[in-house]
Amino acid sequence: MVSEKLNAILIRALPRRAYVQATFLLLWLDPLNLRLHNICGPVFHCYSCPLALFACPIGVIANFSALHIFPFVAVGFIILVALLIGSLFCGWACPFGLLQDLASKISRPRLRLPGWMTHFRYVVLALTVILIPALFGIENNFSICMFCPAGALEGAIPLIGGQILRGGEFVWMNPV
Amino acid sequence: MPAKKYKLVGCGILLVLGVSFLVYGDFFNTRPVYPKNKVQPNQESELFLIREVTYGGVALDRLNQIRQTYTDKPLNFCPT
Repeated sequence: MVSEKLNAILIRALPRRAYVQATFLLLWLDPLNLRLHNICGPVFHCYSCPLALFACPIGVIANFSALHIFPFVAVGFIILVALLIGSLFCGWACPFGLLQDLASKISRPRLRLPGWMTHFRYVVLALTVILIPALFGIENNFSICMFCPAGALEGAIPLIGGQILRGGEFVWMNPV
Repeated sequence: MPAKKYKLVGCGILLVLGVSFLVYGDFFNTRPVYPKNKVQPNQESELFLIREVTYGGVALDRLNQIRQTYTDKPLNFCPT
């Protein structure tokens, strides 16, 4: 009953979804400079972005895998968010979802992927977030944080942009 | 009807699991950092978790410096 009402509200709000996402983006961009990186956020927003309010759950799990420590807080938080809110955050609040929505407005030939590819995300999760960081360390080039598109778009580009705006040297930062 | 019951039970188990993980990680899964100036040779590079998420983890490097990982890295750190 509650989910039906929520669905009805969301369907009515669908044309204004971009505004909702943009409002949430303002929140994730840490306007008050609180930098609550001790808290795992429920969205895909790289903590290394100079404007990140929370820590990225995927980044936390990958880094903890590299340390061979089970991330109880991050996993517990993800379980609770998934249970109580589901994937609602992905479509309505996640900054990366907003970027994907904006990218989808660009006209281009659409590729049709085979059905089994929908399960490929679990392979990516198991390999790049858990196994590769655990076995080869977080600085391995196939660890998620080293090639994460959210990290590049939300972390690297704002940092480089900031450097350029400050009149600094153009440096592609890489700690390795 | 049984399907709904199983779904509720599954949700309950997940809820308990999630809350347990959060409580355990927040209040019990912590260990003291080994004193910086009293590191034994065989304890170099051993990882110590002081607090989950807040510090991610702490490693002592070969120079006995505490190397904090992930969430306490400097502002200009960016892996990509």
